[in-house]
Formats: sequence, structure tokens, C-alpha cells
Amino acid sequence: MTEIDATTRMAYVDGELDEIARRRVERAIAIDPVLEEAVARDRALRERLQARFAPYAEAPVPGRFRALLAADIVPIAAASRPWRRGSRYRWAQGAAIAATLVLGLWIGRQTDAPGLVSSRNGTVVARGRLETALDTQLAATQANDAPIRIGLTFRNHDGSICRTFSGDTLQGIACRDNRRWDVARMAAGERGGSYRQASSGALVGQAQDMMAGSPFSAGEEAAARNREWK
Amino acid sequence: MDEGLRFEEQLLALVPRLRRFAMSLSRNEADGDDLCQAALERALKSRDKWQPGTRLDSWTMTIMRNIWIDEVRIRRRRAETFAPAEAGEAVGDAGDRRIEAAVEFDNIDRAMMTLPDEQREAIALVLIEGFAYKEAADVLEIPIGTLSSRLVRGREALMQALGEVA
Repeated sequence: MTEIDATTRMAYVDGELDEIARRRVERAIAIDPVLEEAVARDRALRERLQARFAPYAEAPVPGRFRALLAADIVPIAAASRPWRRGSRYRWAQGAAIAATLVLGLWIGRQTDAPGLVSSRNGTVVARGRLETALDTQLAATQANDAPIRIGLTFRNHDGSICRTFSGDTLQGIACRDNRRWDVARMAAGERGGSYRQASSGALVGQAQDMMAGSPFSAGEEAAARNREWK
Repeated sequence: MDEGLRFEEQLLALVPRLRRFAMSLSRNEADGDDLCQAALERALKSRDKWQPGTRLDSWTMTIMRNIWIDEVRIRRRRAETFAPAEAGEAVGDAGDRRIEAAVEFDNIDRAMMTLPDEQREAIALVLIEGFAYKEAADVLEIPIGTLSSRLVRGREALMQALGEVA
């Protein structure tokens, strides 16, 4: 082989050589079949590696990352601090924590809303106003202008009670799990955010996929609340 | 990149590439996605440290790579601590892993797994992610000469593992 060493040859394949060095390598390739073959192998390796890992860069972004980046997320450690429920202090503290952690999104647009969900070990759970709405609100009696509106209530195939919800920044489906609401599906809300994954129609479709039997009637919904959604 | 986009939106746009990098660093998809998640969480927490106008991709990949290196160290320590005591139980496990390896991984994966981490991360950044040497060296916090020699050794080892003449 010619005087082109492996470092130079690979730098050539990686597009790292300046004009003069590049021409020198090209002249050497023209007269040296062994070098030419080595360059072809270097190129083939690069292509093979790229082809192997390209599918990850072309796949849709998995839901867990969308949820992480598109929602009002506050770490569970902050979320589990005891609130003084119903007091004004609670909201002020919520906003302060969210701002400090710089994890509460849409804070600028939505100053009255601290995080609605928290994430722990890949599971997203409802908190704050969303948790309260899921715990207490009934579709039949909720205020028309409620910040979080509850849609369908139903049992999923595991037998847990699930509820669809929609708010300004967030909509989705939450299912009861051991006194918490796990958020099973989540998308940006109707009026907020720029990621409109799921329209209300899509949300209902997803609920239907998860549903065992029919949605609860108003009576069943109220009875389920009395049993604390067990 | 459009600076009008929110930080989270810029990160979201990077997720496909971040996943690809995570997959090439780690040894299976579950680890890769956990690594990606950890990097995104840390990037969100450290957003104050990112300077707008600089490259968010290499900044986030630096975070990811540092998390990975920490993880590798922890695993290595754990393996050193527990391996002798568990050697007996691990026999069946190793067998399962071999079968899994034969079924799941194609030659490229196996070849990548033979590389030391320092060569694999250099290969991942330059050959898979398409970073220039300067950018990759910055992410890895090493001189360009060091990067370049890791690329040479890594490529030669890969070709050998793939049964091609290096």
C-alpha cells in the first residue's frame, strides 16, 4: 500500500481532510488498488453501521418521551409534599416549586396551573388539580367551565376504573391503581400546547380500546366515587 | 434550530437521534430507552446550563454519555462485588444470554459489543451520528488526536469481529 496511513485514510472517509490532503489521498487511490479496496471497506462499514441504527432515528417518538417533554411534569418528590388543600398558599407553593425546578412547563402561559402529573419510574401519575378532578368530579354534575372536564368512566380489561379527562394543556385517560391515578394515555390539551396528538375523538377511540363492557351511567359513576373508585 | 421553539420542543425534535445514540452506546433496547429517558430528565433539570445558540444535540449527547459512563462504572463495580458469590446461579443465566444473543443480535451488534466503551462511543458519534471529529472530541472531552486513534482502533476491531480484513 502507499504511504497513506490508516488514520489519514479513515479521516478521508469521514470527510475530515482539507482540500490538499484529500487530493493526495485521491491520487494515491487512483494508483493503488489495495488502498482503493481499504477505502471501500471503510465506507461499507460506515454504511452498515448507519443502516443498523437508522430505524431508531426514523421510528416515531415513543409515548414515554412525548409525555416527558409535552406535559406539566413535576418530580414526585415535590408532588408528594403535603399541601394545605384548598388554601391559596397551596397554589403559590405549587407554582414556586415548579418554577424552581424549571420543570413545570407552560408556566408562562398558565400561571395558575402547577404540574398536573408527576413521573416516577416511567409511570405518570395524576396530581394536583387533575388528581382532585379525577377523585371528585362527576361527568353529569361538573361545572361547564371546570378547568379539567371528566368524560367517560369505565372499567378496563384489568378491572380497574379509568376516566378520560381534558383540560387546557392536557388530556388523556387515567386508571385507578392503589389510591393513585396512573395516566395511561396523555396528549396536549385542546387549547394549549402545540402537540395535538389526540383529538377528543381519538381519546374516545382509545378509551373504547381499553374498555371492558360499557361506559358507566351517571348512577354507576356516582356509586363508584362512593366506593373510592375501587 | 429555531430558537423560537420551546426548550422541550427542541428536545422532542432531537429524541429520534438521542435514541439512536443511546442504542449504540447500550447493549439492548430496554437499556437504551432508559438511558434516553435519564438523559432527557437531566437535560430538563439542567436547562439553565445550556446556552441558547450553541448546539443542543451535542450538549444533550454529552449528558447522555456521562450518564452512561457512570452506569457502566456502577455495573462493573457490582459485577466485581457479586460475581464470585453468584457464579453458581449465573450458569443458567449465561446460557440464556447466549441463546438470546444468537437470536436477537445480528453481526453488527455483536461486533459493537466487543469494543471497549471508549472506542464504541467514538464510533457511535462519528460513524453513526455523523459528528465532525472536533464536535465528537468535545462531547467526549478528549483531544482530536485521541479521538482519531480510537476511531482507527475501533474500526479495525469492528472489521475483525465482522470477519473482514482490517
